[in-house]
Amino acid sequence: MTDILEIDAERVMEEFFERGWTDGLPVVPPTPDAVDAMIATVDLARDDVIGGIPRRNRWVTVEQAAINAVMAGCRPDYFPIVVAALGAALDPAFNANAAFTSTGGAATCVVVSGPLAAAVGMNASHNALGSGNRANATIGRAVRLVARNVFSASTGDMDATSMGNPGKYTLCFAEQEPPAPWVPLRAQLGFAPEDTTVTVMSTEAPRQVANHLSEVPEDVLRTFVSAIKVPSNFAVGKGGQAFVVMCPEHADAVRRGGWTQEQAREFLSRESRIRPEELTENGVPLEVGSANDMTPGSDGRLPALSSADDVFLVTAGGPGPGWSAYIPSFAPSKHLRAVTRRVRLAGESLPDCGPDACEIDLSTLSGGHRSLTPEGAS
Amino acid sequence: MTTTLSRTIRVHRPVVESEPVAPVDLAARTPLPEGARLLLVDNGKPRARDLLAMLGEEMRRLLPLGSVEMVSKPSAAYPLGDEEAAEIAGRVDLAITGLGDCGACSALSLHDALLFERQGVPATVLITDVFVSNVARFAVSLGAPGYHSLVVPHPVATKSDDQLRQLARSVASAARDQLSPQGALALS
Repeated sequence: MTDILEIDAERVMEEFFERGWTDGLPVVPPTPDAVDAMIATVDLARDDVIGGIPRRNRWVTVEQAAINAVMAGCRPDYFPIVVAALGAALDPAFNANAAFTSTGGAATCVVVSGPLAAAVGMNASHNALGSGNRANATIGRAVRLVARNVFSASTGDMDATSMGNPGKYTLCFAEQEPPAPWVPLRAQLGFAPEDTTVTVMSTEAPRQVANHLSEVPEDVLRTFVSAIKVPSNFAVGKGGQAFVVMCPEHADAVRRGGWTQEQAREFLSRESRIRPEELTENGVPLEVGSANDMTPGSDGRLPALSSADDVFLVTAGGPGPGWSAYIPSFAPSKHLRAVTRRVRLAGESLPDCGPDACEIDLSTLSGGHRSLTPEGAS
Repeated sequence: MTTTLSRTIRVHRPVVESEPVAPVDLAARTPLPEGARLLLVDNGKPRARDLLAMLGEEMRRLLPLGSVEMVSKPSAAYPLGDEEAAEIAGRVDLAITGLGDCGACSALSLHDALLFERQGVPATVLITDVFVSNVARFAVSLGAPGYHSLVVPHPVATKSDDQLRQLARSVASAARDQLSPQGALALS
């Protein structure tokens, strides 16, 4: 249970600013009633731990997450998505200890795939990566406020960011269901169509990808390649991950050309491999004797993206001229990786059996543990 | 006449008042045996291995070392594993970790040094000057407020071999004092 403070109502905002509890924007006061309303949307106790960063001796409870979600401006029905996003960001593979303190100053990009996104009013269409939608704006902001207030990820404390990017306020959007036979991100990752998933990645700010004049699949994909193999990205030449966010026109062009998503991801991964000279000619020396192996492959090139599986291909944005986006990880995938979690709502039976949590063979558990078996399971 | 009543609002405190972290018991600095074994933990940052190797050479002149071992981590963004550190600690007497020349790698090199302290191996961490305050804050969160470090000017990655050697020399005596205050006596 956290402390309750009693503050002059007319000074509450200034108090929060002065105490360093905001990201620089006003926040909604986390009153006990508002926090309780958040917690009521998940089947978790207020003191349950969502996750933590053991290497800095910090853990976040459901109540602390709810407090920061209220402050971010979330509606209670967004909270299950916030909890799933925090669970993903605190997975060891995400390496929040590094992501929240690196000079690289990464955003915590949150992509929501599934029916719950539309149900809570998230935006996957016009301005999906821009301003104006409460759910997009506040879910992403809640994650960053937890990073700041619970894990001390602020300048002057444990965030050593040199420059940062505007996505550190919030960078969250919903995936638009792609037209068949393409499938949404959650299905590409092995989740069920009826699931809603949250995928988080530590990223640079988004880059616009414009191609208004060609519907030839290779042309569209090569335009993305030109945005991917950019020597100034720290992961280029070492191998990173990325969200490739295709607008409807670009996705349609590639799909109508007969390309599967797997083929598109393989093309982007392969064609974005970069010659070492392209780095050195742009003033970027190759690392020698470091942990980042920059030995060219058999094709004489280095990876910008580690593999086709490291390309997270999603569709979003409004129809019109072809404006897409590319959101690369800020660092090589050997240091930190994107993580996906399924969103669980209050009332769902345990355990969560998404592919990220079904490695436990229930038949091997003792009788005392079988009470966790979901209804209907043998 | 109207009266203005002061109105208050009850809110949750959004930050966590951390419970005090159990302090790390630093390894005792005892006189070194002849043939002492120095460990250098290279985190894989560019030029870290070179600078640490040069520092190891300097330490041979200042302490009665029998061996200098270099261990390279696969990623500067992760600490050594607890079991791995315990295993390595069994075969060394002193440890220097580094290079902390970025946010994550300075925090994690500090973490590596403290792993060895917990195992009874005197240690210190090599960092660049712009990360002194970052390391100080992490030291508090890890139970070692005020923990020492070896500080060289930033940047290191762009320096020539001659410049690196100068940097190594500039922190060698501090390393001797942090690892073994008796080291100078042992040589006298």
